[in-house]
Amino acid sequence: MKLLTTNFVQCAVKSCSSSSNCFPLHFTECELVHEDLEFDEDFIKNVMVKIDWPALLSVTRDIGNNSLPEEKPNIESCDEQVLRDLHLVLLETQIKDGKMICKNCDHLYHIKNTIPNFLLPPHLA
Amino acid sequence: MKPTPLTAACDNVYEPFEDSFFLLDCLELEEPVLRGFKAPLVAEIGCGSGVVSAFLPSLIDLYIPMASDVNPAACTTTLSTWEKNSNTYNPKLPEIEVVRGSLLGFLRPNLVDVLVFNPPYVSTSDVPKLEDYDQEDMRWVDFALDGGEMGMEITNIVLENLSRYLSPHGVAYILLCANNNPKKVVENVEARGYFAHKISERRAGREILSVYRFSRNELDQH
Ligand SMILES: C[S@@+](CC[C@H](N)C(=O)[O-])C[C@H]1O[C@@H](n2cnc3c(N)ncnc32)[C@H](O)[C@@H]1O
Ligand SMILES: [Zn+2]
Repeated sequence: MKLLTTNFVQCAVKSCSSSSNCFPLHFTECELVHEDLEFDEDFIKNVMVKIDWPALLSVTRDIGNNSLPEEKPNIESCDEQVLRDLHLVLLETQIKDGKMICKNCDHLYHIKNTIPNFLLPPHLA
Repeated sequence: MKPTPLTAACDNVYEPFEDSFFLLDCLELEEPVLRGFKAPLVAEIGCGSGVVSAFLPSLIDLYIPMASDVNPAACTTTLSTWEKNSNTYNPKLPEIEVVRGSLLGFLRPNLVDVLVFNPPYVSTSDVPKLEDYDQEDMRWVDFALDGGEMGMEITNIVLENLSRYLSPHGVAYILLCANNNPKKVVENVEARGYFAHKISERRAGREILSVYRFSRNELDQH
């Protein structure tokens, strides 16, 4: 699962969806891999429009990456290098195996062989 | 006509069939609409073999590809199918994110720009229950066809959640068969403030299939 996707997923438990704590999930025991992808300036700019910055910071800190600035960079005026760094973090960094925990209900989700599993046991579905 | 993607071996996964190929043709007709989005999040529900998801790179330049399925074999097969075709893709296109999960219940609201779903649309007495299947089960393919009452039990959940899933300009492409009573489906979706547009209709054996586009905003017909 790409780090980009951590910005899109939340706890799948219905009763959590109204809680502001169901996103972002807390990431732990993550094994990361790097997947090369050619850089495209317009694409990463358009992707950044969708990004919730505080949530991205929370997840990157969870996985031990403190390279991102506190404030969301201004995408229209920043250096190309900033965009390249974002491309690296969001699109080239994959969680191969790991765990995701809901900060509201503590439900644990697994990522195995890059595939996150959000299926719920019957009593939560 | 764009070439049909190669698919990986479908063990315990729905093999691309007439419905899958009809959906590809309908999506191809929608190329002008699809190309209007900027870096859209495109999510396929129930990706099965991955044939539909693997076709989309021929219609949209750069986007955020995502797919879900409850069937664990469908998830790995979709990744293999994507891989098999990736030499034909734009090298700047990220690899598809395949998520094991039910529908799009794991996504934050209002993110999906393009939703695609070839649902289990066959009318059956029940829909299979997840708790009756374990990871290694050889019957996961049951989920591909069994649509419960009027074949609409799963599709209805998606239709009821359109306003949760879709972004403000989002569109959903959903395949229906005649037994689903498309007329009634359209009425229900329109009653919720959506526009419905039939892309095309095709006879496939005993079935008459149609693909509809549902959107919050009215789009140009072409
Ligand atoms: C008719 S098959 C379509 C497969 C493929 N997209 C195609 O067109 O060839 C329906 C797919 O939906 C999946 N499915 C059924 N219920 C689902 C659910 N609740 N969430 C996600 N996928 C589901 C099935 O496992 C199956 O792969
Ligand atoms: Zn939760």
